[in-house]
Amino acid sequence: MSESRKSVLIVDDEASIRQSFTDYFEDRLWRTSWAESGEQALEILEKESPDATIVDIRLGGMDGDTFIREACRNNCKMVFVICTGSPEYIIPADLQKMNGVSHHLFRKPVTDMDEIEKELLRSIQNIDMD
Amino acid sequence: MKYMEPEHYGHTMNKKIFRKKIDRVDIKWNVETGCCTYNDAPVVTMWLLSTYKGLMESMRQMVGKKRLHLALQKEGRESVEDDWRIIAQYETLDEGVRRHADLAALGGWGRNELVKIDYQKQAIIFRNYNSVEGRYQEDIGGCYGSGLMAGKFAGWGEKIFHVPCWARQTQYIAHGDVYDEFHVFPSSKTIEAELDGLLQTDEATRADMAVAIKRLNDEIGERKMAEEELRRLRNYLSNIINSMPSVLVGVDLNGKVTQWNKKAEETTGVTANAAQGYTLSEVFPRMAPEMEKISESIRTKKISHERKKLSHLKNETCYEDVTIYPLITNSGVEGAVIRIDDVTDKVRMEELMIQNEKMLSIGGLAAGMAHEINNPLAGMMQTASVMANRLSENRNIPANLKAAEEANISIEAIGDFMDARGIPRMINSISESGRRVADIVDNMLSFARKSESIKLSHKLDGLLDKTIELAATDYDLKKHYDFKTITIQKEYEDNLPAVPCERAKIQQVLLNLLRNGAQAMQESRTKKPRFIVRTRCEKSRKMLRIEIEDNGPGMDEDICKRVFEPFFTTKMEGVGSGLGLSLSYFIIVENHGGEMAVESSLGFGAKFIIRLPLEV
Repeated sequence: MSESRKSVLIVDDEASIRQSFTDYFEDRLWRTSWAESGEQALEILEKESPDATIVDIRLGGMDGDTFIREACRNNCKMVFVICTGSPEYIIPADLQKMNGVSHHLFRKPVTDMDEIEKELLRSIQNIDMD
Repeated sequence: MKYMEPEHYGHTMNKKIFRKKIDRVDIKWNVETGCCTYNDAPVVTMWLLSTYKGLMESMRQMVGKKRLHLALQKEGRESVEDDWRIIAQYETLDEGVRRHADLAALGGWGRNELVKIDYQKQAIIFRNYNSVEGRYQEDIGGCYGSGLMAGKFAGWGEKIFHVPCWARQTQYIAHGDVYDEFHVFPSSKTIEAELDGLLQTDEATRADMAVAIKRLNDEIGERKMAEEELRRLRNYLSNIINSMPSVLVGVDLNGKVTQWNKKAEETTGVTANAAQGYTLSEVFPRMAPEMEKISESIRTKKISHERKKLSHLKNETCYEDVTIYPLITNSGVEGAVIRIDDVTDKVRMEELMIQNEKMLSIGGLAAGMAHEINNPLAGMMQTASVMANRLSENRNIPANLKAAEEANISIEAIGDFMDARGIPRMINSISESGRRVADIVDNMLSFARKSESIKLSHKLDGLLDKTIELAATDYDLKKHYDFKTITIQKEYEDNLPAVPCERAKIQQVLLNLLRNGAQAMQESRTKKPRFIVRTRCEKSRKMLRIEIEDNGPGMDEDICKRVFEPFFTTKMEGVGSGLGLSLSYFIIVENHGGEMAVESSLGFGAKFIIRLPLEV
């Protein structure tokens, strides 16, 4: 982590949540970028390739699931951690089969931010080994 | 026995003709023609006196003298028309009678004689010599008169005088007289009336008795059948009334008990016999306040319904529906029937259903709200978490150091300032409050989640032990209770069957009950606090019952009623969310198809009863 800073893209339509993640990961010395919609996030991915993405599900335009499918179309080597405020949400089967999608689903509010960082790092490590 | 030789008896002798006396009657027997004659008339039949005698004796015994006499008179009258056809052929009555007498004598009737007739006085005297009736009566030693002859002569009198006549016998062969003699005179006497008269005087004969006894027997039989039918019907009706699950009581216009069914006996402990005739309020004191309504109902002929009437029986609260029906008959109102139905279970069920309804609607609401709450809550809590990181926990992160340097302040000084101003405590408070909101939302969501997860079978005694252990470690400084000081009395039934359930959820319920009880006992400073934990298998209901009973302060009726209501709490503000018990209730009833109830009264502890179905 010290030699190469990890990067995370935060996709959430709620500004305060985006900001809290951004602040947290910056403090943890991550490089961060953010998008408030799936569409915007896809644009960013055209220019950047972050190690991980934290994805909200209920977004203004395309939803989080669709964004992940779109993002993976180009077979990008990236980790997705889903963080949602919808209590009934479960990760769809097709997404569960994807390599980069973490099975650890985070529900809002994330009371322990360290947990999500740990999961990001663990997933990045897994995908690197593949 | 005297034998009278008729005066005009002919004596013709012939070689070919033999004379033979048969039963004292002279019969000529012509051996050439084989013909028997009497007085030149052919004789084709003859009777034997002994046969006749036997027959009449039997008849007399059966119907009695007087009855038989009247019957014979009637029979005698039957032959009047035939007699008269013969008599009327002759110029004078005298000759007609004589000619007829010849024929009659031939038939063995003896010889009739018209002794005297007075047309002016309308009186005739007839005689009969050698009368067969007189002779057989003499033989059997009983004289009741020669009825056939009397009937015959009375009929002749009527023919002669053209008025109804009667024949009175004045001389009797059977009594040793030379002849039977009859006085005929007009009379309104009839055989039928005489017979009726006999019946009126109670002179019953064996035949009458036999008939009467037969009739009586038939009547008794019929009445018996009717009574049997009536009894059966009454039995059937009373069975219906007694089989009713309702108390059914009949009262008359004065409120006195007339009907008291089995359920009434069970409810009051007063038997139907004991209740009969007493005023309803005397034998059923609970009904005393209803007496006014009963009179009202009788007066107005209107049915009165009272629903969910509250009553306290043996310290238990009951609800009853009381219906008063006026007994309206053709002639007015006869009284009233009071029907009392115990609807306690129904009312409880309704209450629970309303409760369920409430919880489900909260669940629905919660699901919709959760997302809306969780997002801003995430913003708040996650930001607070970053703040805590920056200001207290990880002050030495590079970004902090850089910012402090730029502001020309040492990071230590900032830390001191923050601590002095209680900033970390405040941030902590934000996080803590946020966590409580998150918990509430999460709990509320449980109402919406219909559990469909596979339920494995678990032994509940083991689960109870585990939960009690877990509760013992749940020492909470803030709530000031220590589970270890509480005595746990376990009353488990042996060999309890395993129950299909979600272990974690049931544990959550049990833990919640233990915590609540412990808190309540602690707060009220209950001396020697103890729990009794019971398990019972209710085979008939196919349920397993768990009871958790404490000896804490208990709850009054109002609290008992509301205890499962969401957001209802008696705990101090901030200590309880008011969801614990409603969530428990939801888990048991909705998720597991079980039952959950509470029994408590103020000052006597509380007992929570959980029932889980033995099969899914």
